[in-house]
Amino acid sequence: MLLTAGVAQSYDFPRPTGPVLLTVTGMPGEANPEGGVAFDAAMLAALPQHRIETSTPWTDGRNLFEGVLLADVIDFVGAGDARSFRAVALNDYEIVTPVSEAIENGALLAMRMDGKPLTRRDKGPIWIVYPRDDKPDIQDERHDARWVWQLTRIEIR
Amino acid sequence: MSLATKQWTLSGVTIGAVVACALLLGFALQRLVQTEAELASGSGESLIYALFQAHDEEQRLVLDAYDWNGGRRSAGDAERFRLQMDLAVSRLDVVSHGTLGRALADAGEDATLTSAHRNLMAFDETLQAALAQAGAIAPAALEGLRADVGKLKAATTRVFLAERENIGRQRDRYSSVLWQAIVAILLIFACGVFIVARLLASLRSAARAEEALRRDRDFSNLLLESSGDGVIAFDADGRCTHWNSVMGEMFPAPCGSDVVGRLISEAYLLPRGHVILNMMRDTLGGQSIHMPAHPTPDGGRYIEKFTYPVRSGSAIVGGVLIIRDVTDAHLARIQLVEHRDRLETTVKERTRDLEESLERETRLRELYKGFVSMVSHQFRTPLSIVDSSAQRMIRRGREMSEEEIRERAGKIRMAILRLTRLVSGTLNATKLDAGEIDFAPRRCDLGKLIVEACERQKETTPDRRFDIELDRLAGWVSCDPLLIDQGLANLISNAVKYSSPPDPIEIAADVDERWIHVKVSDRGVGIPDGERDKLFERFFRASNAVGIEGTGIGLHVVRAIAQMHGGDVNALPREGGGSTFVLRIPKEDALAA
Repeated sequence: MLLTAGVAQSYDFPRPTGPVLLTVTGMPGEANPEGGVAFDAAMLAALPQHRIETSTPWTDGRNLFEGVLLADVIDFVGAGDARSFRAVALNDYEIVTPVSEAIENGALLAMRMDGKPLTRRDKGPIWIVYPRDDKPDIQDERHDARWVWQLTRIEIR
Repeated sequence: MSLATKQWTLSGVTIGAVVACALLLGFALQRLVQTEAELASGSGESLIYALFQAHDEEQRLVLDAYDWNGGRRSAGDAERFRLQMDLAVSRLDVVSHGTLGRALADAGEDATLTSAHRNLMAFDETLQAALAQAGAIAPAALEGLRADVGKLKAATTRVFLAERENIGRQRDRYSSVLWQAIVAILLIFACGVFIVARLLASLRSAARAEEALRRDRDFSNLLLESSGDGVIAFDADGRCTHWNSVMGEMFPAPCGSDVVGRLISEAYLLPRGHVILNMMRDTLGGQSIHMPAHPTPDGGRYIEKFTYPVRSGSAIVGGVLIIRDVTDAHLARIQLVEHRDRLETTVKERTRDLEESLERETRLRELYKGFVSMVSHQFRTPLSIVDSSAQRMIRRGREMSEEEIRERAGKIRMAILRLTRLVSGTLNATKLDAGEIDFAPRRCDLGKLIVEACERQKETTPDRRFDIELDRLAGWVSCDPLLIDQGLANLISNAVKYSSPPDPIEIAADVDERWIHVKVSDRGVGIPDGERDKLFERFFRASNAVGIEGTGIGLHVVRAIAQMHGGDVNALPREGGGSTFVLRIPKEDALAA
């Protein structure tokens, strides 16, 4: 486990060895704001794994999602004080979400759906999902816009 | 239309307005809720946006293919091309699944998507081969994609138009619902105005009724309070419903004036079986009770109690207890009785006084008669002796010898002596009766007094014998010697006068605890029965004393003297004939005490 507590510094983070799936930028006190922290599949797999079972407006039936909590990623990069983040997709779709709301609603960076890895052709490799069935508050079109698929970058603000 | 019918009609109309209000409100709510539900469902823009994305990514893919064929075939270009391919596939995937997929299927566009997907997959194979060999893509392979781009655009247009139509229809529906709701609200408003007007009217009449009730209550309270009697009313449970301050003053409750609404037994802490509780029970049983005037437990006042049951129809719903303070009337009555008693006593006293006066008068008259009779007999005899002697002396003149003159003069002197004795005796008795004789007791020798009295009597009547027995008399006696001597002389001369020789006169003295008795007894004429009590009255002379000289004063004087000493004198018949007179005076020590 490479979880570290306390002040996170960019040079403390391990270098990704595989293809970069997600880049997190804009952490406070970061030496090189442009660089950020890059995650490959192994780094993400090293974080605590969680699962959500819910239906979505874009899939049929109930689906089982597996991945890491957004909260864990934010803690990992030491951005616990962040107010909001901008999620950017491969096709340049972007939306700003308050960090507190996303964490409170249990945002999950899903990498597997129904036991199969998500690919770029079906909303992968990373899809921000929420436990929609359990929370009537977020069963709303405006909130649905925060379900960013093909996530590639998170800009902490 | 009668008032009651009008009231009923008004009430009916009001209830109708309320029901109409509720129905209209329900209707408006139902329409609004229904519309809200329709508002929530609707995915028109999402669908158009997703179709636009699919169209856009596919068009970019076509552009990337032309770039590739135009010679941009670096590794980065290949990677970008691959990414674009994935994006295009994923966008078609988005519009083929979930709610968007179902909406497009409903709109009849699923065939377009199916063929677009098939063409894209076919192109993918061509692309993978071209990427692997870094070779050009045959233009024919792009035809399908280009056609699909156009078809997706056309589908987008159709969905957009259908959506606009749908929104228009929806707007019409909303408008209609809103108008229904507006009309319903206007009607509700009208009903509301009517109901509020009715409410205000009801409130006003309720206020008027309350005012009337309050006036009635105030009037009842005024009646209650203006009564001088204590009034307390109770219900069937014995709970106080009315109470006036007079009752509070007569019988202050331990809880003060806070009696109304409480059980009377608790408010006054009455024990079980208390007379008031029994009266209340009997009153609730239908009796009207009157308890006549009686003193209160503290004894300070007299009260009367009345109770009356209170009926509602045939049922008894409570009772009234009235307590009247009759102290003044009762005291007045008692005073009246006392007055009457006093008056009767006074009348009796007056009657007795009058009777006594009458008796005294009668006695005086008797006395007067006695005096006149005594004077006519006792004074006339010596006067006639004097008169006859004087006549004889006048008739005989010088013929009378000196001896005869002396004899006649002696007779005259004897008669005068007798008259003098009579007058002085009478005067003495009068002085005694008037209290003009001084009573001067001192220590003296009673025996000597008795002997001297006998000696004096012997000088007058030498032929009489006296038996004197004074052995039991010892020591000094306290008495007035002059008065006692007079009394003894009277008793002794009486004994001589009413008896004859040779019977002796017996004189004896006796002493007991308190008294000294001196008994003078004779064997004379005695005392007739029935005259013994009168014997000591002034001027009384016994019926068997006729022909014997006397004034009827001697015994009266003896009694007066005895009474002055605190004693008395009594006459007793003597066994064997004659009488005994007993003079009784207290012993010296008894007198001193």
